[in-house]
Amino acid sequence: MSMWWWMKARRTHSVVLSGLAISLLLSLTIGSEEVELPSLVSGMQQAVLTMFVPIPLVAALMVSLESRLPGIEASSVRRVGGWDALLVSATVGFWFALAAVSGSGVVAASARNAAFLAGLMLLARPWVGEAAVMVPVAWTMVVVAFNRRPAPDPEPWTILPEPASAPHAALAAAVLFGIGISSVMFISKDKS
Amino acid sequence: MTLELTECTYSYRRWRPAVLQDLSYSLPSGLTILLGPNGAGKTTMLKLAAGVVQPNNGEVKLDSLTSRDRRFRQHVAWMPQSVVAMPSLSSREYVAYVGWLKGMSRQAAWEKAAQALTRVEMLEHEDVKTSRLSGGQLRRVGVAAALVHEAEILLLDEPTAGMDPRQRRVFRDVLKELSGEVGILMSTHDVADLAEESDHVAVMQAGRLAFAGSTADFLAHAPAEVAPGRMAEAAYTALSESYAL
Repeated sequence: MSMWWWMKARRTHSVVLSGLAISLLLSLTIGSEEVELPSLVSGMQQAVLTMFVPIPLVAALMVSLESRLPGIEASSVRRVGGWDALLVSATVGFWFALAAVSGSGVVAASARNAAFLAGLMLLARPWVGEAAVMVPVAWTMVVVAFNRRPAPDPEPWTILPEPASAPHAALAAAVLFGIGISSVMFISKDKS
Repeated sequence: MTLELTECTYSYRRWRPAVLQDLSYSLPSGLTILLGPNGAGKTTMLKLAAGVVQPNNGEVKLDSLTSRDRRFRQHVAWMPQSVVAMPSLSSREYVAYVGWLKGMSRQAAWEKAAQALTRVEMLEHEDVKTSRLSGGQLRRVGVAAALVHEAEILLLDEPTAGMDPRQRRVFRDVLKELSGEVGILMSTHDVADLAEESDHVAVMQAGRLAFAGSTADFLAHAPAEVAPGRMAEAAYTALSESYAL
């Protein structure tokens, strides 16, 4: 397999598969649960766990993408950015496939959240590097802190607590994921 | 092939001051040493020359190929200042991966990786994970990675930092061998060790070239009374003072 060394360099077998397995397991087991968390605008607020389960996966994706040769890959003849984009798309795509097979709304909502949070992280990565892994965590915290309405009818800007059937959330996730993937493909990470 | 930078200006962010300002330079054949104080722009110049970053203004060309052309990258090898260990790759896999990135087939990269490691006396460590190598060993793997695809232009950013005296000797022998075949531009703070063995010297100051010429012209800046072994250092000091480096 010609991209074998790239896969080893990115630690796809260990890091990405582990992150995916943990997130999927959480999604299937506790994804539909709700916990009570303190909100800045409405006292205690019920938060669905589908909001949080993609975090291990997006963190694993960041570890994998940053396991690279700075400079050398930027001056590579092969389009490594394309392979990286494929890795992220295939990982998130697998989650969507599982959601389709299982028919579970919870798994579908968490797959959408994975796409949304991965897109956010990838969008921030060219500017802040590895620290972009904190952006999905920050978004989740902002939602917990400022969302005034609990699921299944949260404020529309929050995206994460929305049910799988919410079209605007699906659209936001698709757009952000698309922009994030484009940044992986076309923006150099070596401006430092 | 001739590597040429023409009126290159570069800043890492558009709103920041330029690190390189209207830099023009043509790399001669043989070994060229790139000198200058920290922050002078040596690394940025090497990054531009390698196609790692693109100039905001001006252009970098290798004969008719510009640095935006992927074929340009096939002819240029680059060793960054900091060689990053990859915990999942052995020394040979690391070097072969770089060869593959530079467009070699998997089999050719694997075979050439062994040859490149032999050149820097690292073949005995070919199966050792790069995260388990010492700093000096990792730099030698970095040098091997720069050699693997047999580029016509070799750009090395402080390759001898962290090497012990014996490793430096081996590295200088490799450079000597290569300097007849390829154009080499190497930044270093090791003025005394390397400048007298080079064919050309370039000195950078605050994003501009303060000097570029043959080693003989460079050494001519040394005061007459200096002992032969200290001429390079004395010449650099004299240049530093005259250009207020």
